[in-house]
Parts: sequence; structure tokens; C-alpha cells
Amino acid sequence: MKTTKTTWRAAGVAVAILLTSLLVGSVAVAEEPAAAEEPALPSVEEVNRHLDRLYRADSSQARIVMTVQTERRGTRTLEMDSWSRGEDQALFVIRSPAREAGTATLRTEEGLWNYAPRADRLVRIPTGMLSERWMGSHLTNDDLVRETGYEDDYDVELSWGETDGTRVLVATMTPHESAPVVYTRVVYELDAEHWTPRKAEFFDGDRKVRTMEFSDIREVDGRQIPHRMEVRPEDGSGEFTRMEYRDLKFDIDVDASLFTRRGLRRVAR
Amino acid sequence: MMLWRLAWRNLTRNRTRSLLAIGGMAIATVMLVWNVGFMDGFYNMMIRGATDVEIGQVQVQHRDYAERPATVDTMVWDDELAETIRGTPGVRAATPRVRLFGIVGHEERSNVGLIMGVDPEMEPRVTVIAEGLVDGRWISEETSDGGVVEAVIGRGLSQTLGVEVGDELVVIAEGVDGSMGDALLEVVGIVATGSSVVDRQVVLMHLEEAQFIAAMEGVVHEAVLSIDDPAAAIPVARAVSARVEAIGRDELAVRPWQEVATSLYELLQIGDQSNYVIYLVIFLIVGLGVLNALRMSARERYREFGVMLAVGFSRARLFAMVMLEGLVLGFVGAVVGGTAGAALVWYYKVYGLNFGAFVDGDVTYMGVSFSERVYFAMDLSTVLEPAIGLMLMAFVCSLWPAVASIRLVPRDAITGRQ
Repeated sequence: MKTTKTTWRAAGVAVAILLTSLLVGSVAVAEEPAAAEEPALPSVEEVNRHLDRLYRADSSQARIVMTVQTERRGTRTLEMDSWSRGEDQALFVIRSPAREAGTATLRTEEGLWNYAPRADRLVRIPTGMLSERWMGSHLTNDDLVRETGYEDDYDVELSWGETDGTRVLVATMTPHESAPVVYTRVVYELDAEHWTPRKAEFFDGDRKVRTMEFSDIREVDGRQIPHRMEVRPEDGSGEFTRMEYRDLKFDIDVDASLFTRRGLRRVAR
Repeated sequence: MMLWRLAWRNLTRNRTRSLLAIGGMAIATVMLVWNVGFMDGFYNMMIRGATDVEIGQVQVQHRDYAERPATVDTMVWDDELAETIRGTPGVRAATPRVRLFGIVGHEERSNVGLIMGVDPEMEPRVTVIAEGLVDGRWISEETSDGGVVEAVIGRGLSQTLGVEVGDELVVIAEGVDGSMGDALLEVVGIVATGSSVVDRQVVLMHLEEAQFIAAMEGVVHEAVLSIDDPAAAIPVARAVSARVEAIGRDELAVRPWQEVATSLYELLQIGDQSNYVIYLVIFLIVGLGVLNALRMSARERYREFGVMLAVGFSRARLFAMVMLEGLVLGFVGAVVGGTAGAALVWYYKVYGLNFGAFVDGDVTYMGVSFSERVYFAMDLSTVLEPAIGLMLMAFVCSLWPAVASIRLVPRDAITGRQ
């Protein structure tokens, strides 16, 4: 067991949602000898480095199918295109259903915007709306920008765990006292061998408030990437949002001008 | 009859004493009438002020929406329902509304806004939102037909977003089906109503435009009613409810403002109770004065009473005489005071009391603006209740001197030993 205070960062903005969990960090602190348990526990730094290698991409592009199931509104399926570039730029454009086609979310270094296709205007998402549902799903606007928060807000602790008889690597993240975060604890389960994220649980106090599950792990460009993510609020409602990635590509040519008002209009309309 | 003459003669014998007693009672009556008229007027103003801006006096919503507002809990708004509601006796007007929470803003700034789709023609008949225009104009009755949508926004919101009349705005909101709807708006007017919710959050637009944004064809979130007598919201709501149920719309909840704005209602009730304390105090002060006047008047005449008893005037008649004196004083005082009070309250009912003279600037309390005039309320009970109360008090105050008088022993009273 080993505790490190480090600055973890989620990566891969294009897949920002999918990879909310992706703990790609840069700095790790003091090495302690791993406990004498079975396989040596990797250091936070090692996991970081691995995830960094795994997910860091200069750019990405994907087609995403998002299924939102709610009690009151039934099941809704959206198809969208997404692009990312660097760590801060991302764009999501809804393609179907027709009524919403063109609706987009743009993320840049400066903030988060929604593109209103009927109005043909960008609207900044106010900080007061960050915890609101993103596009009517169970993800929040905050999830799209969250990665910045992980950098300085959490302490990370690694340990071995077991799920369904399989050994998993567990990363427990606790926010610093003053950190402006919603959750009191976030627990990630990583594949023991490949350190690929499997599950993330979000706690408020002792109560689990939501769970994310990552599955359908496929190789892209020699990397083990989950292609399906499901988030469900733990309120007994049975509601969920599922994101499925189709055609996920890394390090392709994505023009920087895409992440501007004009570039967005070009692809959204 | 002789008793009356005796009582009257006694009262006119010392006019100063009688007039002072009458004056005290008259002034007390005026105070009470004024107070009742003021408080009732203030109460009505609070109701009007709190309800006219936004919530109306009675609301009709889907049961689930009434319990916990959610965009999905809509109700079908058709001619049958509209006519059923509007045809209920006591209902002055009813207007449908769509309410959505969404993002309002532009590229630089945005805010969470309450998007209210309203009927541009009916809304001003129910609420005073349109009267709060400080700039620009009210939304027109025609829809944009897919073009730029006319919007009237709260002054606070306009300041937060830095937009003025003529500027454009964008709204994005989640519809009933979970889809994201949006619209490009042109600000045509800015309102300041005194209600902080309205001024800081509201974006008003044509009902159909809001319905289009939220994919809610033919349905609305609420119907808001204005009724003839704001104090009669509960019975009117009951009547509307019965009629609505009769056409098979039992999924709807009809609520008077007392249920919608519970905190305001509780506050008003506390105010009502403290009023009774005020009345009681006024009665006590006046009562002591009247008691003193009547008792002194009787005491001064103990020798006289002794003689009367000695020559065979019965104690029963003496008792009645003293009581009658008190009652006559009370009656005259009540009539004079009631008339004067009624005249005063009527004046303030018509012309209003400028409340602004007592408060600095634009004072709002619980979202109600008090910078306006208070128009007193007056009906028969406004005058009759204090007047009858005063006469009752005169009756009670006469008991002591009357009882004391009949307990006189003629010999002692005549010699002045009692």
C-alpha cells in the first residue's frame, strides 16, 4: 500500500467523457518500496506513465452513439461526431436525430460553449450550469471539463482489489480539503494487467452516487481502449447513459481552426 | 321612557364630561376603523403584489408539476379546458404558460434563465409583468415563423448579460422529450417588476415559440388565473377544480395562491394575529378611559342617587339608568367615530395612502414592492365591527358604576359617607 500526493490529470479530451477517469499525470512523488504482497504494487508514477502512453494523443476523432434512458422520457439515442486536439480542445456535434442535428459543445482553453444550430450562435455555458446534465444525459457539463480539476484536487492511493474473482488495481482518489469538488471520494478500478480503466465509483460521503463502467475494450493503434462507457446514477431509478465509440482514431490530422466559432459552424451545419 | 329622559338629562347636565367621554370613544372607533381598513388594504395589496406579478391567484397544473415542477409534467391546453376555467364564476381571466429552465446568453456571457412562454394578449390581463416595462415594448401577438423571436427580459438579467433593447440573445433549453432546443431572440423590452425571481431570471416570449423550443405541441405547464376578489381564492379554486374534474381532467391540480405561496400566506396570517393584539390594546386603553369617566360621573351623584333611593326609586331602575347612560355615550361615540372613520377610510380607499412617504426608495419585501400607494379596503364590517365592539365595551364599563350605585345605602349616601 502506498500513498502519493500527486497531480493526476485525465486525458484525451476527445474522449473526455469516456476517459473522465483517465489518470494521465505527469508528476509523481516519493517512491516507497512496495509492500511484500503478491505482485508488487506499481507506483502512481508508473500507472501515470502507462496511462499517459495509452491515452495521450495529439488528436482524436470518433463517432459516438449515446443512449440515454430516463424514467420520464424513455430512451433517446443520439449520434454525434467528436474531435479533440491537445489537452484542451474538444468538439462534439450531434448528427441525429434531425431535430437536434447540429447542436454542439465546444471546449477550449477558455471555457465551454454550446452551439445553438437554429440560432446559429455560440453560448457560453455559465459556471452555474456546470453540474447540469450535458445534452440531457447523465453526464454533467462538469464531466467535460473535469480533467482540469483532477490535477490539483485529489490525492491518489493505489491498492490491489478483487472484482468477480479477478484481481484489479484500485485507485482511490480523495480530494484535498479545500478542493472545489462535488464528490468526497472517487474509486477507480483498473485492469490488473493492462491498467485499463474498468469502473469508477463516485461517492458523496459514504453514499455511492454514481457508477461508470468501461467495457468493450479494443485495440486502437496498439492501445487498449474501452469503447463503451455506461454511467448510472445510484438512485435506484434504473436510468443510465451509454456511450459507444465507433471509429475511434488517434493522431489523425485535426485542424486547429476546427475549435473556433467558424470551424465549428463549418462542421456543424 | 322616564329612564331615557332621566339618562339623557343627566348626560346633558354636565356636557363637558359627556362630550369628553364621547370624544374618547369616537377617537378609539376611528383608530380601529382606520386600522382595519389599512390592514385589510395592505393584506389585499400583499396578495395582489405577490400574486399579480407572476403566480396569479389560482394556478392550474398537472398534479405532478404542482408537486414538483419538471418540464415533462405538462398538461393539454385546449379550448374546452380554457372555456371551463374562464367560465367559472369569480374568474376574471386565465392564461396558459410554458416554463423552462435553460441557458440564456451570448458568446461572452450567459446565465441560467427561466424561459416563460406566455400568451401576449392574455398575460397582461392576469399579471402585471407587462406593466413593469422600463424600456422597449411588450411582445407582439404574431409569432416569428422561424425567424428571430421577440423576447422581454428582466432588468436584472439584462444587466448581468449586458444586453439592451434591440440586442440579440440565445436560449438553449431541454425539451419534454429530452432534446435540446434553441432559439435566437431579439430583446424588445425590459421589465422591472420588483419580484426578484422575475427580474433576475425571466425571459418572456410568445407561448408558441417556447412550445417549439421544448417540443411541446398543444401542451403547457400551467394556467394562471386572475380572480375578482383576491381574498376569495380558496372558494374560487374549489369551484374551478370541480368544473375541471367534471370535464374529465382529473389529472389536474387547482391551487389557490395560499397553497402556491405558502410562506407568504403564513406571514400574512401572523400579521393577522398581531392585528388582533393591536385591537385588544386599543380597546383596553379606551376602555380604561371610558370606565373612569362613567365611574366618576356616577360617583359625583352618589348623594343624588341616595335621595332617589330614599324617595322610593327602585334599585333596578337606578341600575338601568346608569347602564343606559353608558350605552348612550357608547352609541353616540360609536356613531360619530364610525362615521368619521368610514369617511377617512373611504378617502384612503379612493386616493390611497402614499406609503412611499414612510420608506426610502424602492423597498421590496418578499418580492413585493412597497413603493406604491396603499389603497384601503372597506366594506360594512370594516366600520361595523369596531363600532359594535365599542358599544359592547361601553356596556361592560357601565357595569361597575351601575353595580356600585345600587349598593348605596341611602342614609350614608345622602350624608356623604359613601
